[in-house]
Amino acid sequence: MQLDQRKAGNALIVTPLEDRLDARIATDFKELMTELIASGTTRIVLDLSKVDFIDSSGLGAIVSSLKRMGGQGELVVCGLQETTMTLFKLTRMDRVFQIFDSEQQAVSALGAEKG
Amino acid sequence: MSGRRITLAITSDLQNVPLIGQAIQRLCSFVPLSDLESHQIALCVVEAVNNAIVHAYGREAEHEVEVIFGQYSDRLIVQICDAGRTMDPKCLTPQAPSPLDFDPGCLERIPERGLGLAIIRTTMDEVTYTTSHGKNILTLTRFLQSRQSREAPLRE
Repeated sequence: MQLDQRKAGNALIVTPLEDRLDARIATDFKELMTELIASGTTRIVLDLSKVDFIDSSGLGAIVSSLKRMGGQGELVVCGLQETTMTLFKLTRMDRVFQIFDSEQQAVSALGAEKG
Repeated sequence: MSGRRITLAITSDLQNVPLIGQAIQRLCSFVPLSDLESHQIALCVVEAVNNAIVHAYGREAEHEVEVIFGQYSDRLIVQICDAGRTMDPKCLTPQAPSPLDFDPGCLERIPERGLGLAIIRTTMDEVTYTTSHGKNILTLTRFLQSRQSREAPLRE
């Protein structure tokens, strides 16, 4: 799978360049996120704006990434489409993740938390 | 019960699952459902097919997963059929604990697995599982009228 990465302020913006984050690629996604976290990245904005379908495996991989940070960093989500937002709400993951409409809002929030 | 049915089949490879998901979503567009509801039903079918491939067939390719989509006057019925290992039917009893009942403040307890069935149970109106002559059938039912009346009650 393809994952775009770029720095913005104190955060790393991670953007899956896939329209489906599902069981086919969930393991690859989890491994890539694990590598990023293991390399010392502690503030991640997961931009899901290009993803219009997430299944439970994809969602589980996102949760796994959050757990991998072990409370030592921040993983926030932005750019959810209506379909993927519904999944977060249905599974109550909207209570787990900070969700922002835009990348700028997410980056600002992480910057503010630093201060 | 008269209606229209179509049967789809894929080999048990996760790479084929999006084909089923997209086909079901398209078929749902012929039913009085919103785009979001169609997406949710397609998600449920994807979850069920994933389970068949991963759990019933242990990720072995070359088996078949069959999906029967039926549209009737008052309901939509989708059956997902496999001939692999049988699921524990206790998973679908109302008493079965839901992985969605978790404490969001407790990181370790946030579920990473087992969400597929919970999504199906939450989204569909009826979910049943039967096994007969070596064939497992998960039947997902969505009542059309009840949803419509729930969302837009008829005026007296």
